[in-house]
Amino acid sequence: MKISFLNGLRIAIAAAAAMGLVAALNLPQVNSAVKNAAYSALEPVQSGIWNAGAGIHGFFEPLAKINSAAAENEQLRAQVSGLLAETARISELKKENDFLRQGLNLELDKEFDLKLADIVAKDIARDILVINKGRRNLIDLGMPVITAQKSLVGKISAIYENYSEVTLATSKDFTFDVRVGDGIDGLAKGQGEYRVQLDLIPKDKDLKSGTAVYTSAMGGIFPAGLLVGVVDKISKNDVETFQTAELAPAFDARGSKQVFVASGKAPLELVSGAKKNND
Amino acid sequence: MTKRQLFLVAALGAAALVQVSLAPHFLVAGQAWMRWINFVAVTIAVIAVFEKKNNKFSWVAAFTGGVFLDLYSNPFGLWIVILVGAVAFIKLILKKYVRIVSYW
Repeated sequence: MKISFLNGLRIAIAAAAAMGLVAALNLPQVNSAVKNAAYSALEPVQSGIWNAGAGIHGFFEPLAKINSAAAENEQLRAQVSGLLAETARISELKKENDFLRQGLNLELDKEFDLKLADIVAKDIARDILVINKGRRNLIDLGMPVITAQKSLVGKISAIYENYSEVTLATSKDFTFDVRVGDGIDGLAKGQGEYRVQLDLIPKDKDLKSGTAVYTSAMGGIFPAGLLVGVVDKISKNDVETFQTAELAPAFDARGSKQVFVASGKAPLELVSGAKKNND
Repeated sequence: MTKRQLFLVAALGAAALVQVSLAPHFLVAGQAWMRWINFVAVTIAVIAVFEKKNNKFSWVAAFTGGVFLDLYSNPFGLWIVILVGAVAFIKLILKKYVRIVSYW
């Protein structure tokens, strides 16, 4: 089939127009304005779909895990007996903590300047969420995003006028310093698809499954003390210098509807101050 | 553009919304398989395979679907290139290697 000159010209003009449009849409200001406008227009529908998905996810999750339910039940029974003793200890610590908080006037809203945001979408191929707070709400790049339970969600990686993108802690190639339990320092590496790996833990350290992992202020990315997850499967290798482990992340995007953007008061200022000193 | 084509463009927009807002919630056998099932790409592939030989709508659908998906990823244009490339590949295969014979 031969293409006539006129048709060829038409196709060439259409292709050039399409390429020009795509190039224009990659200009930061145009890209930001177009995405912001599109998100604004689609948000009512998207929020509804996201919330419906979060509800349905909770309904089907037990069916998907039915095979491992018996083993999990045994494991949970064992954990419950351990946790009862732990609860008694925590109760004592809580009294002490409450007393100290009253004394130091340290509440969560004193630690962070929190902005509540709804999740509206997720990037197709990567662990990146879109939330409905943006530049207009004084959101800035690098701000940590947390849950109401002070668990780590991720950090702000792109901002538009009314919306922002949150790169999840599970995002591929996203690394940050963590502290395991009471004091083992390590590195958390996002693996994508809601998975995180714990790395650079010396082999002589006693790493236990179920130990809580928190952020560390060392890398200057997040404030210290945000719950990242718990240690799941530990792998030790005679050849390797360090041991690694899979983490069960504390934040599950699939069942979540809202998050907090922590625009940080004391801890973040300390972190940025430390970073400036290092520079 | 016909009514049917307008409906298909709207369907592509809906598929993109489902892809970014509903699909991320689901795991199949503990894995996030849904990220590999792209509703927009599947819809465009179906259009490209079943449209009449001289019809050019699949190219428009690929571009439009790409724009919808690119709103939720970076850099802008990546999905347009992928989907237009997929349509070109399907058209090439259909032209060179597939012959539909009709006895009626």
